[in-house]
Amino acid sequence: MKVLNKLFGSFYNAFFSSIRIERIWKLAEVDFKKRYYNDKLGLLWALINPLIQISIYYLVFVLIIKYDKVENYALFLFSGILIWMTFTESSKKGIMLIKNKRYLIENIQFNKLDLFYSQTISIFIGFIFNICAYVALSYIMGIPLGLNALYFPILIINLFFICLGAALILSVIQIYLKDIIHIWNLFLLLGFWTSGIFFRGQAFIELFPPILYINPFIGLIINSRKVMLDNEPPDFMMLAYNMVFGIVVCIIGAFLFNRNWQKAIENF
Amino acid sequence: MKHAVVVENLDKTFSVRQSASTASIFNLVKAFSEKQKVIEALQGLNFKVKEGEIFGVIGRNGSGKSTLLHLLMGSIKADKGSTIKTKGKLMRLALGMGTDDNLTARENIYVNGSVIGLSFKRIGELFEEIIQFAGLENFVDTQVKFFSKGMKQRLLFAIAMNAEADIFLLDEFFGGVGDEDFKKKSDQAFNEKILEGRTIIIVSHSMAIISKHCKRVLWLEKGKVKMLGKTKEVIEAYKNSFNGKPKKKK
Repeated sequence: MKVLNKLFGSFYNAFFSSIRIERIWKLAEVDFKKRYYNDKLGLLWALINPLIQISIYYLVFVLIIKYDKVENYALFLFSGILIWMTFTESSKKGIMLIKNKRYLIENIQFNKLDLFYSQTISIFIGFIFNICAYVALSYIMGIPLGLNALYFPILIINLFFICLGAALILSVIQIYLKDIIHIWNLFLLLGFWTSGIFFRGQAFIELFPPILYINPFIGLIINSRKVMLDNEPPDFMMLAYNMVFGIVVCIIGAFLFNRNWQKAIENF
Repeated sequence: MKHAVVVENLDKTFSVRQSASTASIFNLVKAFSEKQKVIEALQGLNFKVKEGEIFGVIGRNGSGKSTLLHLLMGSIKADKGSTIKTKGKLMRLALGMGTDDNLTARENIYVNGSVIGLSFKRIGELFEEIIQFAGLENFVDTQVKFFSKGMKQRLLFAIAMNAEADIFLLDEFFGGVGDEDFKKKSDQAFNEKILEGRTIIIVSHSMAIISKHCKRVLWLEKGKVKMLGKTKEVIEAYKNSFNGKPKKKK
């Protein structure tokens, strides 16, 4: 763990120096540690959790249902689930963020958006560990990454925007609707089955073309598989649309949050 | 003399919904159409605090003291037409608040320090001093949830002492916390490090603390300024207001 600290520390020292960046980084770091370092397996959970999930779904789809329309189904599942898990986690934590960080919000003056940046960063540090697991598995299965995998960081940035924006918007909704978490869970369940995690996203698009624009994860997951699994360049139109979608969600989220966060303290 | 805090025509009304479980998707329409109860927490407050002044705020429970601090902090919004001007960085200090139980003492120092605007370098310089002052040398990497109340108090106090805020809002937070030994130490540090050269607004029920530190005091009663003036006069009037009128049991 100390090695990781050093690694991140030196990365940080090399690129940033302002106090605000330090703050965002520190909050992200402690958030990450709180999630993984408090138990014995620690960071291994970031690897074990998705692997177990994938094993279960693999068991159900390949061995029981005998779904055989997709090659390399384990990796196919893995890539979809990783992206979805990251979104699930950041949106759910976004709902709780004001409550969890109230001790800072109430007592110290600073830009409250930093809390969201740092939380999303901390979730994405976990995501990067997950990706390492994916890459390892893909080598084990004899499907190494190709050059097109270099596009993947763009998709990660895209996902980051969507996650950040969703967290911001949900935190605002939570101020007015305390039971949003229950509704959001149902929403996530719907998204889980309609984002092309288990089946090819193309099947959903053929069935109902506008879904590509309503649910950005279909495009995001299709593109991720193209670059990571099939070694093809991404669909650039889809990528551009999703990027705009992510940025717009972020801007709306930040706007709503800045206008409403004080209500959260009032309504507690 | 320049002013660190200027408050003009400050009003704050809270709208409270009557029914208990309003904020739910199932009664959204009802919740928003329902007539809301309006509570006027603060009405027409005017006062100024000079730079470097120690200013007291007193009043009974529910008189609006905490609301005032929240408004000054900017963590809740004042009504339209109100003006609150503050100069520099504010920090509110209240015991029992401000640390994350799941983080270690070290992490809490870094998080709080960086949120208040200290660079890592500066926190690093102050670190030993903070730990030593709080007497937590053996618990640097222990999670705060395993600390006793006294240890938590000491940690928060030691962090706060080094906070580089321009205006402190002290919500029942003073030196002289903890056991006898720390009490002495913290009292001295409080006087030297927090009070000196800073603008302070103290909210307290303790008239001893208020008269010890403040030259001017604001007395709030039911959200309005009942009296604003020299400490001795305000406290006397405040104390007299209890005579002949027994405290209401709450």
